[in-house]
Amino acid sequence: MNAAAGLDLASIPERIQSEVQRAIQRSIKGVEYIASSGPSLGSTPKDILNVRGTMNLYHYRPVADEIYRVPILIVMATTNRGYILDMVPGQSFIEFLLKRGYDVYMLDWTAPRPEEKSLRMEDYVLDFIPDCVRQVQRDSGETDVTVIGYCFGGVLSLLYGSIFAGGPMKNLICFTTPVDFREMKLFQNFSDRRYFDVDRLVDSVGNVPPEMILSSFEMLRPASRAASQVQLWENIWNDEFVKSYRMFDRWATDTLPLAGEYFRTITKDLMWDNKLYNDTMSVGGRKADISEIKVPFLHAVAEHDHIVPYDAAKPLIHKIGSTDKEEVILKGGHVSLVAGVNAVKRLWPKLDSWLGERST
Amino acid sequence: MTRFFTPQKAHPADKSAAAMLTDLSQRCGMAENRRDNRRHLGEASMADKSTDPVAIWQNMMGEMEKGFNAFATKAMETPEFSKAVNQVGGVSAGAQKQLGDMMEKYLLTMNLPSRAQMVGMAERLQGIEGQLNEIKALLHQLRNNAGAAGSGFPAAPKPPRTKRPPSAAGEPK
Repeated sequence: MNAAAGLDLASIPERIQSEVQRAIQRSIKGVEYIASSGPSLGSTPKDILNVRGTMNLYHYRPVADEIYRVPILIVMATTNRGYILDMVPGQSFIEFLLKRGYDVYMLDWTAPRPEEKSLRMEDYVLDFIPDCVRQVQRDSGETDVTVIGYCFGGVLSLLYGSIFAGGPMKNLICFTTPVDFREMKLFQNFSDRRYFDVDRLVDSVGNVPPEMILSSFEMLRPASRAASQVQLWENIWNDEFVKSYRMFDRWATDTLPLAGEYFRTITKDLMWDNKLYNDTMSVGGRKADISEIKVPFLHAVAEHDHIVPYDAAKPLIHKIGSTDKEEVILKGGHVSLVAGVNAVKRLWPKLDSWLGERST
Repeated sequence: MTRFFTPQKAHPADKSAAAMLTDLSQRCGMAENRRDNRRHLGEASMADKSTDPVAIWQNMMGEMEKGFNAFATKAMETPEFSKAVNQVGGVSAGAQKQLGDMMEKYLLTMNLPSRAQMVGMAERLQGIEGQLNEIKALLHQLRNNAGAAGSGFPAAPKPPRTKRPPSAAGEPK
């Protein structure tokens, strides 16, 4: 068809007017964007139960008149801040859980200090998580605890659950959790053992700097940062778009450094030797076999996840020892699975219906 | 295994927006906001997207981004890339350390605080913050314990742990 023939001539003046108005709005809002600070994130009321170096344990204040018996402990990924799960009212996973009657705790991380470069995998799995679980038990007065792990927080939860298979974890939920690290193709190539000298890096820098972590994430989609800037400029007249952009951009660039020894173990045991997948993983001399986990298990994965591709997460549902287990594949990416409009409509209601029945 | 796909049929206006999904927007659900906004603003009335210059531009940007990402991914999957990046990374990490050591000596000569000293100060501040948080946590615990013992301190009210799932309680989900 001739392009001109399909053109709606009557709409042209209206269209031009709209574009001119947007151009003016872009200029005004552009100045506002530079001059103003972003929305306040992670503001759901909470109490700090414990802070120990990089480890922070929060308890979110319940808002429902009646809550489920079993409290939830969310284990956040060590590379990023936990406020991705508590953006702004209406777009907060935490707020959603509280309103649905759950008692929510979060194990969140701050940047490890230079002297924490010697933190090892066993500090995370055999000390931080069990310590938080004990505090959740003490604070809630309940023995059972549901653990939710996001991304690498899921890996830590799996390691914890397989070593402490006798309890007190009652349910385990993982979001986009990799187990077959061979399938994280680009990360595999970045850390190719023939060329990547992890010992030299850790020995020279101590903690792995956040810039390096951020660059490795951004290198997975190298054109996307520039394209998102163009998108921002196009939509800067639109307050909702800008608010959403600022929230997610701030979180995405707010990457944490990783403790050096911990990074060394991740590289050698997981990226190089794929020990979790090969059932040869051990932490602090204790075997961590995920087939030992027998509690009800839910794994939510994203169809278009470029950070943890589906093939890297897929084997988990088969390897886990639980009989009550389910995998849900949702549309979206690594972050839109858990936060934003996508998550509000898809993941959150699914999780609520699954977990509610197992939280009494 | 359960698959949840978008139930509604894609709107014609969605196609160009979907085609230009970027990493950030895809990761963060902004593409969906964008689609909703477009509908809200009445842009969906544009009958033929092939004649809409804005849609053409957006489509072109999306395609360029996808093409570049795909090309870069292919290049980054090669062992040559890994070798080159890690050589550069290794050299720069070493150089950074040497430069840091030199700067430290220079600042000492100039009687200025070095980065390590500033980091030390920050650590001490963080230590103080940590201790304050510990005190807060202890007070929180004390308040709960005191409330439970009925010693007159107001304890934070805790809702009963009696909630049943909607299916058990007969509520609509």
